Amino acid sequence: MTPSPGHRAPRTLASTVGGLVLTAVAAACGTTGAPAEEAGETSPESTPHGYVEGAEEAAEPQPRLVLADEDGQVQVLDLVTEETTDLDPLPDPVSLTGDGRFAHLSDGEQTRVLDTGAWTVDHGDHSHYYRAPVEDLGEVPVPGPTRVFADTTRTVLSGEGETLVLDRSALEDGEVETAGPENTAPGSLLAPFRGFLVHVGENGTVEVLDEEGERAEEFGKTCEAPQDSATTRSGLFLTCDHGALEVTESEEGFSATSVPHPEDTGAGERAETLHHRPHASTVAAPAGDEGVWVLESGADEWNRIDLPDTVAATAIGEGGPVLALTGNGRLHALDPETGEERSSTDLLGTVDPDHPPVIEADAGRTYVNDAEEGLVYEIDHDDDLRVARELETGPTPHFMVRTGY
Amino acid sequence: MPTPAHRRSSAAALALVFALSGCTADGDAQEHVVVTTNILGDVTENVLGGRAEVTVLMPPGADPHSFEISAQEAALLESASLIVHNGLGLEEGVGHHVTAAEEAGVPTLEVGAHVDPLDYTSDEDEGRPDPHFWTDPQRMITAVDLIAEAGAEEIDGADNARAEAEGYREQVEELDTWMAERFETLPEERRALVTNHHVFGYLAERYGFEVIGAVVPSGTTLASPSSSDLADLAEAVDRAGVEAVFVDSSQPDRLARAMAEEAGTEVEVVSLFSESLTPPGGGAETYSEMMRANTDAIVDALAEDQG
Repeated sequence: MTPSPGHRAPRTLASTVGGLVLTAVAAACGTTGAPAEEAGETSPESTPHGYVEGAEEAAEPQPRLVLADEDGQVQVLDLVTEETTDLDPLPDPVSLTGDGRFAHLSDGEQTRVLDTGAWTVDHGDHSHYYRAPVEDLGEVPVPGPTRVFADTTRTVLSGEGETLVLDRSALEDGEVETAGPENTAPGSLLAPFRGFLVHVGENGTVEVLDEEGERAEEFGKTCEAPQDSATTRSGLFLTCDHGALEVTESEEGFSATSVPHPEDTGAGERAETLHHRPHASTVAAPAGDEGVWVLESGADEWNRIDLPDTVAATAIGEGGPVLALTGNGRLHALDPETGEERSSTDLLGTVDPDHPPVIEADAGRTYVNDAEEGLVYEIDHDDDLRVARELETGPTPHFMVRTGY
Repeated sequence: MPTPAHRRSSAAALALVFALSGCTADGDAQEHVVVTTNILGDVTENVLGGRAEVTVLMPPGADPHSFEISAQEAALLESASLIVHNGLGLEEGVGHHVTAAEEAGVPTLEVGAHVDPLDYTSDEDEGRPDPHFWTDPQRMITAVDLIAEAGAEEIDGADNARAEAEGYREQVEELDTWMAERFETLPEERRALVTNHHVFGYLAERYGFEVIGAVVPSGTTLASPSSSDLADLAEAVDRAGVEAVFVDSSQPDRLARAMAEEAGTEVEVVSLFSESLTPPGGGAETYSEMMRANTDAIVDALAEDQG
């Protein structure tokens, strides 16, 4: 084949120079005004907001995995290049979460924030993909295990008795800064949603707070004992004692729809933690260890799939399967509506109850960690759960999270 | 970071001369035009560069959707004699600065809105105007006229801008004629662009191409692909009846190999310039160079008889 003439150099998020020309002119003229005053301060001021040193745009998604073992050895694995980056260990970790770009490794006292250097900017009709070096941004005083909820403006870390709202653009600049309510009551939940914060009070009231923390909307519906939240392309799901609450935004403002569990649902079978391919409009939640709950954005009821001994589950959405792992190490691809098994495969020899595997999905591939073998399986979930790659990991993958979305 | 062209430094030197003479004369500020995208920046420099300082906000090789500007540059917008921007939602990171300047009374020209924009026809954006008009040089000729007219109106001493733009206008007309001739060498049935770019709708309309959108397998998929991963692209290639796909891929050779091995489809993977000029030496330093490079790449790939 002929070499393609249009080969493009990696697009760099470079600072601009254009503005400096006129600044110099203004200064030469002795004109008063901001540009002249700032002229002497040179480059830092002329660096555009959002500039990331060393970041470059890529033609396609740049997924990475963060892997940690129970001793706290941490590694970032680039799924495109298979390159690895080792980070300082954090002894005795209890949880590892992610928000698309940043990963959060917690022990019983604090949480370390890692910039995994891979992310996506979604422009609706198309997306842009970026890659940058991995950075350790240090610790914040949030004791694990933590959950993380985020949008493009803020990341909320919710740990044992402590919740911290972090400024996302500061994080992108490598700075850890808070951006929101300092104190939230135990039993409450804060989830960023389209530049606002959805706040579920300890008494179950649900409200939307604006950037200043002022109430923008309060709903008549409640969410007692909030457990988890997940953002889809259409809205935000919360899991509550009674089932789910879906918060959506339209031109008329915010609204909330309640989706209760069926009446005969036992306490141990409620949907608590939500899992899905990021942004997909379908979420899955283990129904205790009895099966999987599936909920579609805009639906008014849950779909329940019975699958004894379910350990982990996630939803691909948009016609893709619900994936569930059972205690015998078998991975199942289930029809999200009928629950019918499309395919299944024996994947893991054993499932470690202390470090249950997770299922992390993107559009084309799904990742499952096998701590016993020291491997991560890359699964083609649209092709009979074919194992596309077996990826050897540095640390034993007791904990795993995917970033780059 | 890429160093902007020597053109920039000569422009700066020129600006300083103008500024100094301006200062000694009557203290008038230099007339200046601020342009958002580098494609329109090149065109504006050619049309109004003799009459005003032209500042381009978007660096070479950047992304028009996501580039953002500094506080200094935002201040520049506020004090411009004229702002030229693509509009139709293209410059997402800068649009609110342009709006603010407009509200502060700065004259602005949203070029995209005045070149008879096409609507997107894809499902997700159907009905929204497509901002990527520059892939049709005829629309760029309209843009040249619009910029010259706006310059004549807003810039002191640029009354003859329309006449002065004639030389550049002719260059773009020649570009259009040349592209039409090049594309006419392709049989009609081979004028098909299998692509994941979303910018070639205007080019397709102007020169009678069909754009066939395709999902391009990403890096992780290509690590170990199966035929189902490549089905969408293979189907698009089949439908188009051509042996070239115009896609961005970080591993074009691997993609071509996977298509051959897993889908049994021989394709050439060709990348095109889409939304930004390049730094000097990058192959698309000017609007004209970008369009010619893309035309050559398309014609060469589609004309090839690969048996």
